[in-house]
Amino acid sequence: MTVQAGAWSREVSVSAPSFADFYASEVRAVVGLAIALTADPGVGEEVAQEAFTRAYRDWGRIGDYDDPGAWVRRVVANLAVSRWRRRGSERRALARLRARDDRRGTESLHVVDHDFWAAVRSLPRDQALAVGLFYVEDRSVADIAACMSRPENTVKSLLRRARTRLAQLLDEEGLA
Amino acid sequence: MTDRPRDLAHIDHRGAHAAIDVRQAAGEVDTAVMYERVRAPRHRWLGPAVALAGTVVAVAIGVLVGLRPALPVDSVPSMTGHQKPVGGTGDEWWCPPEAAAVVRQTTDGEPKLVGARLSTAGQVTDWQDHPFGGVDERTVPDLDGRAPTWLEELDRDTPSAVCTFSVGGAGLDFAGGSHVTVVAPARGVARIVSESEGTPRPRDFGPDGSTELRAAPPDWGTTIEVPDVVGMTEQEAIRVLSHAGLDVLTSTKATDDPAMVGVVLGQSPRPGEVSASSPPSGTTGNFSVVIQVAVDVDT
Repeated sequence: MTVQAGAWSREVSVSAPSFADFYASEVRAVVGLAIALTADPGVGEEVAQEAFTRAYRDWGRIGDYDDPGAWVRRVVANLAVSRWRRRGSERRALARLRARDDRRGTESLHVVDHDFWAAVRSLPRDQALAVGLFYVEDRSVADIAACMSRPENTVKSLLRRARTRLAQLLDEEGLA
Repeated sequence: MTDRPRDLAHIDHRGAHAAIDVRQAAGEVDTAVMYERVRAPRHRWLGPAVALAGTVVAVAIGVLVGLRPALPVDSVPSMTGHQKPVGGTGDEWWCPPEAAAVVRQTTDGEPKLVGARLSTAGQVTDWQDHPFGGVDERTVPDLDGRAPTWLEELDRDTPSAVCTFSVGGAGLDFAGGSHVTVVAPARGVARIVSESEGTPRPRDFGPDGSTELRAAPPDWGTTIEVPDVVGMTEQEAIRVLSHAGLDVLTSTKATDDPAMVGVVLGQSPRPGEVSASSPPSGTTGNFSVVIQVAVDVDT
């Protein structure tokens, strides 16, 4: 009996969670993070959907990770930054045509406090992701470190520099 | 100093407030519909199908026009047997370490580097044909006089961090100096291939093709770290020592082994921590290391 119990517990411990359970437990937070990093609820939804799609497509591997949610969040951050950067050239070209400052492309924002997230998106990707996890998901430094696969001290440094930079940016914008 | 805590507290307040907006927006998303889209079969194949079609069209155009894109794949270690497509589009910069590389095959049979991420620091990482990145332009900041700790704290996303990684990639050891000096270019527009996770490497930096960071000469009387260059080629040893802020003097020793020609047989001082008590060389103010290089006995 003890052998069976051990075998059973071992089987449970190594079995990957179902994708449906994983999705249900993570989707809201991931969508929130995506919205924060993309400036637009529609685009954020699309980015989150793409990240989950990739996870679903390769769930046999990703489901075995210690924290599949961390993987999805990193994909979200990459996709969000990629799209933001890709849109950057379009915004700059538009700004040149209009011969006026683009103001970091906040024209499409629907999030109320868009200036804060616009400033966040101007940060390096690591800092933006750390800030998103810190504020949107209210995660601890230890959690963020685990999610980003970085040492805690690195995360502290990222957050410290991000907050300092955000203070500068928001002061420059006259929004403080 | 007194303003800083107040500013950061203000940011925390703004962040918490902004997070509420985001959560509300996220709450309005119909996640059930999204779930069905995630599991929809068309999404499972749409990405790869589009990528495949795009590749076919690109190759066809390339063949027709006779273009062969420049593929700066120098120093890329052999990836044969380690090819592992990632996500179909290669844009998952933060994939797990086992996702070592994304390599696709071109029609001429040469492996074409689409994107690579190497978990080992110091190796080449390239992103020549990254669908989202491609060739990018960044401004190289003025790093002259910055402390190494400041450099090391930079993120890999920032242009200056690209320079930082070039320092690490060059094997530069900061133990010999408290500051770094940018040799070229000190400031300017650098054309680089966008970076990926791990070890971004600047390309086409500056007029001579690369950005070189060099440790400033160590202060008089301080301890310097002399790299171990025995066994390297002469050129490699000079590069490593120069990047460490050391001047190089060369002596020769005849050898009858052709395989050893050009190889560093010895060095003085020996590798390790050395007190910089000897006078610096006259030309640059740096400290010197003598290397003994094998030459052909007939010469």
